[in-house]
Amino acid sequence: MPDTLNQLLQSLNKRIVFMVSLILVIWLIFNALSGGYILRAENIANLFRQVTVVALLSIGMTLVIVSGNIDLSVGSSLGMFGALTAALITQVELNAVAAVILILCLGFLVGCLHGTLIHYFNIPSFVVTLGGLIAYRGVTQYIARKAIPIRTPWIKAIAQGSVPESASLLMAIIIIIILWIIIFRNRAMHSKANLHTQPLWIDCVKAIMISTLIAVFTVVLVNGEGYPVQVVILLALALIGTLIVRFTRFGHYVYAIGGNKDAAHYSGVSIATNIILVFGIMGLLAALAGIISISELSSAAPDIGDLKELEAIAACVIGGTTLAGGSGVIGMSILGALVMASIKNGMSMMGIVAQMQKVILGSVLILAVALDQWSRNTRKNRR
Amino acid sequence: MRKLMLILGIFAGILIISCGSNKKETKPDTLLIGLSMADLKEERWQRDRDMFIEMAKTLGAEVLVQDASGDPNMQMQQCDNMFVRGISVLVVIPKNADAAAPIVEKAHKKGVKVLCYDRLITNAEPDLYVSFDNVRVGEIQATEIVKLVPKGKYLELLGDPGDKNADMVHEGHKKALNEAISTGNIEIVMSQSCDKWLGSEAKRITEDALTRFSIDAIVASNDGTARGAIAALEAKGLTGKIPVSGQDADLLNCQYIVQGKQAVTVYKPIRKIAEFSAVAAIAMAKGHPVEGINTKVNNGLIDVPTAFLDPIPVTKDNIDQTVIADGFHSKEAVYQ
Repeated sequence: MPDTLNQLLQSLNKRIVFMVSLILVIWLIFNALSGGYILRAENIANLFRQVTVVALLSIGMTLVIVSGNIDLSVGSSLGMFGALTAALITQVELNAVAAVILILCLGFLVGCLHGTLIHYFNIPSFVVTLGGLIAYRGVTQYIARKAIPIRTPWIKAIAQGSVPESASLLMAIIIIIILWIIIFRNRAMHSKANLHTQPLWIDCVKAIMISTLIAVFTVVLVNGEGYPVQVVILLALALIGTLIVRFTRFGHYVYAIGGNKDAAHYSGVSIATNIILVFGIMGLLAALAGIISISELSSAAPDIGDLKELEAIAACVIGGTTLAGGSGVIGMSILGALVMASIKNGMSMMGIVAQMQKVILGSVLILAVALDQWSRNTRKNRR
Repeated sequence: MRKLMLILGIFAGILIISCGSNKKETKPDTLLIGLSMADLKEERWQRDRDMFIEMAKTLGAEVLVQDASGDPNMQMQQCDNMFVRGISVLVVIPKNADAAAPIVEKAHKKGVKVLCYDRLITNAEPDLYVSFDNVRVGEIQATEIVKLVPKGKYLELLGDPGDKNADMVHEGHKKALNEAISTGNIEIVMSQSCDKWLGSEAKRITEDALTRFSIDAIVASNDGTARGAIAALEAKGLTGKIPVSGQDADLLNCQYIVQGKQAVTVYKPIRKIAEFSAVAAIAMAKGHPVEGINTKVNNGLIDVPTAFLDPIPVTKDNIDQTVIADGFHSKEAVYQ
């Protein structure tokens, strides 16, 4: 038995196991300390709502950091795009669908502009986006100097509504089926290519474990209000992002550029196109995060998104993305965001004073990275 | 591998501990009041919090405090958290009047009544609004300054552009100044909002104003902005020569008043609003009628039942009888 257990453990990705256990530990500690409120269905739904904006940003931020850059503007541009959306819908009285599409395109273009400035004008991304951080906050405060209310029901529903029960269940089932297909397709491909395949039972256990996890969460959420809409959006985008990174040329090039820009250049990778696209994606996600933020408040306020850029960077770093570029995984950054959101949620439930919350959050950031470095170093040493 | 087992081991340990201590529930019969604060950076809000908690405790209720650090989305989320904790009534100091509307909506869905503390939530249906009359505050600020400088060029420092109170204070300024402006005795040469009521913003604006105009008086909307203005005056050696108004009776500003650096601050006895709100919140939670409602304020959607409390102008002449007599600041601290 210890042998088979060992075999199973060895086949698991240690970083994922580490992050997931870290999150579970955080939940259990706070659950115990707050008297059992953390693991209530209602709170789990709240927690996933609370993580969405930072997690969305961390998808794009992972790509930006992997490419060897940084984007400090996302918090402010999130605010700006949110305020613009509200202004377009409420003040200009533009059709809400058109406004949202327009803002998403604008977000993409502004991101592309960052990329262009960084690549063609040779300005460090830190500087370009620091400029954005300051300038876009000004624009936000100008547009939303008086908060702009939003009354469009479907926009409010993005952050305040939930997917109905039956649809939630259906989605969970589809996700589980896709999961099994992926796992067994991988197996088939591996054995076809005569690569080392793991024993069938290991893959089965893995698939069952993940399916159970999804099933449990779905049941818990459906018992509350169902999947929050914004969480569905997050999951979909996380999936799309992961697929892009794994299976498109663009995805591979981003890692190549971040790993060694010159080598990538001499291998014929177009640095310009890829960097501009990376920032374009970041801009698009910031715009989407802005729309979700105003949806949550049913209005745009001048300080929406303040400091969110740093939270997104912290999420990536906790998830193991190296700031030097070249390595990072989208799913892990989202787990990193969940770590921070869980701690915030737990501390808020306990009524810990805000000053202390900040001290703890800062310490956790450093501790998480220290732990990660420690485990990486020892792994390397053993080799 | 060993490390992984170690982590899993710790994890299992915590699991066991947490299962053991899960029974620790709060006493079911204690009333839990949720207090959601926009920001605790300003000195005054910490007093509000402390006095509110003190009063609630003597009345047998427990208070769960949340500080949103100036982030409206965070405030929303913290209120969600408090609903899970099962609060019986929610007291909100909204970061943003409009953006807090969904908080009221959600609270009502959970059957929780909402008291707007000092700042009104607009376009929603809050159950009670408790505040000092902020139009009166602005009126007092301007009136006291006009007493000192009946003729001249005025600089007007307004509060945060997203805060409805800032608008009300502004309205009070207009009420008090309109006549003198129409006769041409007073000219407002510059009127600007200070983001987040920040002193640093006020300082920057005052510096600019002093460079461009010869200012005779400054009507500042609160003590934070007054401090900024006074810092700018100090750099030019103009302190005491140009009167400055304020609001909140912060300690430093009370010192400025006895030193002659600031002309007036408007004192809104925090104990009064904190204690009134604690009593009202508990009455609301128990479904009893609230005593002391004296007016209604329209918030864009409904006329909100409102209790307005009286603000007091504080100058060099009456500081001993007001701020110090109330124990808001000690005599030694003010005259240090």
